Amino acid sequence: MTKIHVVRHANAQLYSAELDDYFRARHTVYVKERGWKDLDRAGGRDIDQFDTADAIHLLAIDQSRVVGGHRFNPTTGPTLLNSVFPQLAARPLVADPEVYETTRIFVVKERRGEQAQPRIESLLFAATLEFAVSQGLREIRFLMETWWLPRLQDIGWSVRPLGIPTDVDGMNCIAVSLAISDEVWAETCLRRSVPGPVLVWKGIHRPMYRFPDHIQLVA
Amino acid sequence: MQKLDQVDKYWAARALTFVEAAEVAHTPDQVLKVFSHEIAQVGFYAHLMIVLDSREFSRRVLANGWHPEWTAVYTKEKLADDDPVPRHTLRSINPFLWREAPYDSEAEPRALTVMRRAVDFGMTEGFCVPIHHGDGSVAGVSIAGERPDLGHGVRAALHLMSLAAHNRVRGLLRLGPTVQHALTPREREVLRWMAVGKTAWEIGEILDIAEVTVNTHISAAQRKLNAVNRASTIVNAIRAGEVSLSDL
Repeated sequence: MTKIHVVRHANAQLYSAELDDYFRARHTVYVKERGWKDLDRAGGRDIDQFDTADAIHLLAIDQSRVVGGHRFNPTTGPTLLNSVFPQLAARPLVADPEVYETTRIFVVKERRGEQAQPRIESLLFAATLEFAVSQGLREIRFLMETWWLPRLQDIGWSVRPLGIPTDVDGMNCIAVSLAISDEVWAETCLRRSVPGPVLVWKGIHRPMYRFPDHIQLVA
Repeated sequence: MQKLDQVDKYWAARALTFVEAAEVAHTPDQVLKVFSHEIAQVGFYAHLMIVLDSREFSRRVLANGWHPEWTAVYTKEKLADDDPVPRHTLRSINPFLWREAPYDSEAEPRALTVMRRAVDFGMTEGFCVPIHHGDGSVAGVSIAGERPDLGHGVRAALHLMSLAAHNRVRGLLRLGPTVQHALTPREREVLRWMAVGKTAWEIGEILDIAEVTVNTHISAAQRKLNAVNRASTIVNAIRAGEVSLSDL
């Protein structure tokens, strides 16, 4: 089964082949499919100014093949929202060690819309919350297409807009903040048929946390 | 990418304030009252929140702020079947103006009729926000007026306010009518103290009851409010109108 691997500076050498695969997959998704020309780089890899030593990458790996991913950046350093799109927030975005920003969530084309549960997309949603809980984060911020807002609220996410919808390269986008809690992790797993923790911590310290299966949810 | 000017900033702040107000409103009427007030500031006088499926019009309405006569005409003459706006809502992920909803006035004379008759009811210009749910269902929030302000910042604010109003109204309708004051006076009193940060022991001291009794009241309230923990008990109590922020 597909597992989601936590890859950061400390264990990147264990994942050199997968990371290369991951940056190529990002190029395919964002430059070729979505046409974000600004990201086009010679070499066919999407590596930008936020792929720093502080970035944390969640890699969805199925039998050594990267099938999806998601990136985290601490808001104490440069992020897309605080350094490129600060005008998308109505109030100044405060740097906070308990708040990370996420960007580049994707599933490779061949694995989208799979009927088998849990879907890669669901695993990435659950992994995102698992990682946030494991780090003791309060919130994660991200930029998304506005029409996704009701869909996230449908899966029980408490998503707070940070600004109003704004046109970004022809897409109607909004910056939001998601409140992190054991409940939202457990509820996401329940609604998305994810049986429990999905993160693999190879070569790095696994923080102390456990799946909130003691929480009684009203489905 | 567009730049935000002072007007946009004003509307951004106003929309975000509305989002917060909608979150703590505890009846659909409260949400809609504030929503109507906000959209009236820019010249919109009518609103409709509707689910788009094959059911008859009246069964799909979540909220109706249309002129009653227009609703009557629209229902009686089954104008929904020919209205180009709901049709365009199904195909759009972003908000649009009514006049941007395409139709062929030659081949679809009734579509033209719908748009013309709407004008008779002061709905000259309309703005529609499509809502595509994860389960594939689609809804729309439509607002209209005679000569509304349609500046960039205003549209963005209306977009966000429509989404927030719809989300809250839908959530409240799904919860069903809240039982008025399902909690006992003692349970409410305990929650009010909890909401201002008192521990069970402290509340026991204040109310001169045993700590274990305080915990019993909290557990009972948690169960009645369908809450998963103590924090969500407070949130649900405020949402259900059992505890008012002004009590705190």
